[in-house]
Amino acid sequence: MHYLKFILKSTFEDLGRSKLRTFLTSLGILIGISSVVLLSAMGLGLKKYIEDQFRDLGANLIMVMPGKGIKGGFSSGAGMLEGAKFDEKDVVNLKKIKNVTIVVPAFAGYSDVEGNGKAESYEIIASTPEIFQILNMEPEVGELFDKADVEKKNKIVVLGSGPAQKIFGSASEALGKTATIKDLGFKVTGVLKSKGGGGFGEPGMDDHVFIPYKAAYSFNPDKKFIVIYVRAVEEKYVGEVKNDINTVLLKRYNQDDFSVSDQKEIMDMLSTIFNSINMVLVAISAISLVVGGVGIMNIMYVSVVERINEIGIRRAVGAMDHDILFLFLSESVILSLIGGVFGLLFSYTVVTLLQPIFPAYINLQSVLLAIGVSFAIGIFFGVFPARKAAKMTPIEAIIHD
Amino acid sequence: MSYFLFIIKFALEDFKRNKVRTFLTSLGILIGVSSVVLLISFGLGLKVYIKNQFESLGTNLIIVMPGKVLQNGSFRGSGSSMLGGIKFDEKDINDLRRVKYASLIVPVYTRSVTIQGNGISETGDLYATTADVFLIRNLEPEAGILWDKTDLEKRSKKAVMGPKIAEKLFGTIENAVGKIIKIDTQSYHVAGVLKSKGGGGFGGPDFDSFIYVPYKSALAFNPNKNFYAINIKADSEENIPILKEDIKSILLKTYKEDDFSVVEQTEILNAVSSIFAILNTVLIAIAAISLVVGGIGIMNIMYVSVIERIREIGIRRAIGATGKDILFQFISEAVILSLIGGLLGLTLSFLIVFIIQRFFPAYIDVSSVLLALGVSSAIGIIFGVFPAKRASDLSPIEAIRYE
Repeated sequence: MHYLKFILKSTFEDLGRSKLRTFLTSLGILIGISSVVLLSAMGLGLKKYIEDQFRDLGANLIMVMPGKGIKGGFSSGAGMLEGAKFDEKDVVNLKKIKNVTIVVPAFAGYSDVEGNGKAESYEIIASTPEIFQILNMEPEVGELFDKADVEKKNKIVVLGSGPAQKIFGSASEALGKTATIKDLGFKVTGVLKSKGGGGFGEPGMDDHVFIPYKAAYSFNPDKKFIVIYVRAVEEKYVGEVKNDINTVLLKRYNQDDFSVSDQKEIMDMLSTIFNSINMVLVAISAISLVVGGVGIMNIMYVSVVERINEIGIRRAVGAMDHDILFLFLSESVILSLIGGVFGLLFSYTVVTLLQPIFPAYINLQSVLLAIGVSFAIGIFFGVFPARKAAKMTPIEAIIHD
Repeated sequence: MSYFLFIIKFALEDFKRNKVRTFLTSLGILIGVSSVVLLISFGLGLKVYIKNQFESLGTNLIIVMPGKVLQNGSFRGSGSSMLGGIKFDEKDINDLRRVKYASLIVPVYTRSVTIQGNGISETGDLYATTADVFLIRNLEPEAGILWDKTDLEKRSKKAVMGPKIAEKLFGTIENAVGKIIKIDTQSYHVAGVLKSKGGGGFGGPDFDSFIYVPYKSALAFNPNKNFYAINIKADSEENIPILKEDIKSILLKTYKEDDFSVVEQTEILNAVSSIFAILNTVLIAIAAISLVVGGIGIMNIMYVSVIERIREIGIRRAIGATGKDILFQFISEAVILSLIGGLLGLTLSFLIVFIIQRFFPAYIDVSSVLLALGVSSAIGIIFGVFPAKRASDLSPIEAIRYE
């Protein structure tokens, strides 16, 4: 312990001798570590953001989609083109499965929504009133449509806060007005509370428009649905329910025509994608760490040559090979750690500043990784100069001019 | 000129004095430059790769699809198709046959299927279409024959499969010909197997796993004889714009403007390319960070160098060198160090690209080389100027006296 303190004291003295040099050398590591940490923080933020959107829907949610969906990966474009697939009969069949609380079919597509002299394009979701439950959406003003509206095929629409604002100016102004979708007029009976979300060119929850599915017969004459949401009573029944859904649907369709996925599967797939992307980004930013390490090695060589006399004297008063090695090694490690710690601080500052725009965050793993990597760089790049110093014979060292 | 030579000579002498230091310092720039150049070449190669994939589908192609696919040159709609997504049918095909300048019109119905043969089950993409699909996509048989117009009229249950599927099911391409396979529940006779076209990388379409059947024999899957897309080959490149207009006007008689898109293959190519270009730029920016770190390394070492040579600076001043001369000398050293790293980095990149050439069409173009050289010099100047100023600011007397 006392030894360690001694080494550290010598190290800091030496680093203090040329503050500029110490600063520049650790700056390289600082930049390298910050770029690695910041990139992985952004990746984590993105992943969390999307996971939150899904989690919001509830873990006991099961999605039935046409085609291979997620299981088939995205390479087969054919699956996506299938379009609407399921119909009312499927909904009735699925409702009979036990441990199922709600079955919500939906049909969605893009269309221009016109009103108040303006026209904007939004995704229209034609479904049953339970869709609002499933998506956890509540009205800001007005009310949602209900079963009676669906049966009566009422042409009413519930706008998300986005379309309400963009087309009519505000939620309250939108209420009671008429929105034209595909040349049909729909009365705005409600506007939803804002949920946030979106960004990256994806429509957020607020940018949707909901209509009762039976009112959509003019553009969906076969009354088909492109997705059916099924909520299981509890998370533990999800597996069972999935199997039951599979059995029920197989009576009418081929295995390849539909896929039954739960939250977990989707999130796992997302995780895999993000992890791969993250790895690539981090690997590239790691290059700067290598360059920083080379800088450390370079400067340590200089340091060794400069202090040859000092090394000789230390040897003369009793220092062994490993003492000299340890001395120089600890210098390079400390240089590296200084860069790493400040890099972490810098990243933390940037992440905090970005918080309102983007939910990046630094997790414990990143911090440990940053410190560990700095340490490793200090050792790896410092060992060569340190060995050179240690191997010098004391006599040469003292004599050196 | 001789002034330059003079400066360069001294710089090189100084480098020789401590080879390890010179190497390590330029190593930083070497790594930085190679990573940037390699990423740029990768991006260029990707562009070429995608273009080749598209062109292997045939040139002068126009594709008619339901919904509005492109908007302002980029893809639109995230997976959700247009509301009331239409499907084309035989009537549309017959209407379109009236246009001039179209050499081939090929409607396509496609979907994922399970293909069973020889006791093995595999997934593949089914394409129910007309006999012209082989012409329009430049597909040739590796073994067996392709089905034709008469097969289509007779509704023969014949299929032509891609080599990958053939090999997965029957072991070899030759084995597959003549065998019976089951597509979902329907039996088909394998008339032929196609030559390999590649694909499947980056989640792109895997051409070799496609299976083509006459659309009239696919009524079990597609009873309404609908089509998801219509591929049209123009007879020449100049006529593509007119052809697009003609197609649009014919389809507008049956459908509304928003219900379909008529896109040229090049438009799709550009949209895909631009996505990848953005990704590439991000990667390059990250790699560029290492160049900054390398520059800092140069700055650090130059400071050391200046202190080491204080007396030398003093003597030079004494025999007539001005502050400017010293400044120039040290900046040149920094620039040369940087350029050495840059040139070596370029060389390394060339080597790597050369090795990768056979797998991937990456290449280094002239602008990359100029960029590498330019950036290296710039780094040398920017990061060398501070230590050089420190050197030139030294008063000659202090310098000579320094112990």
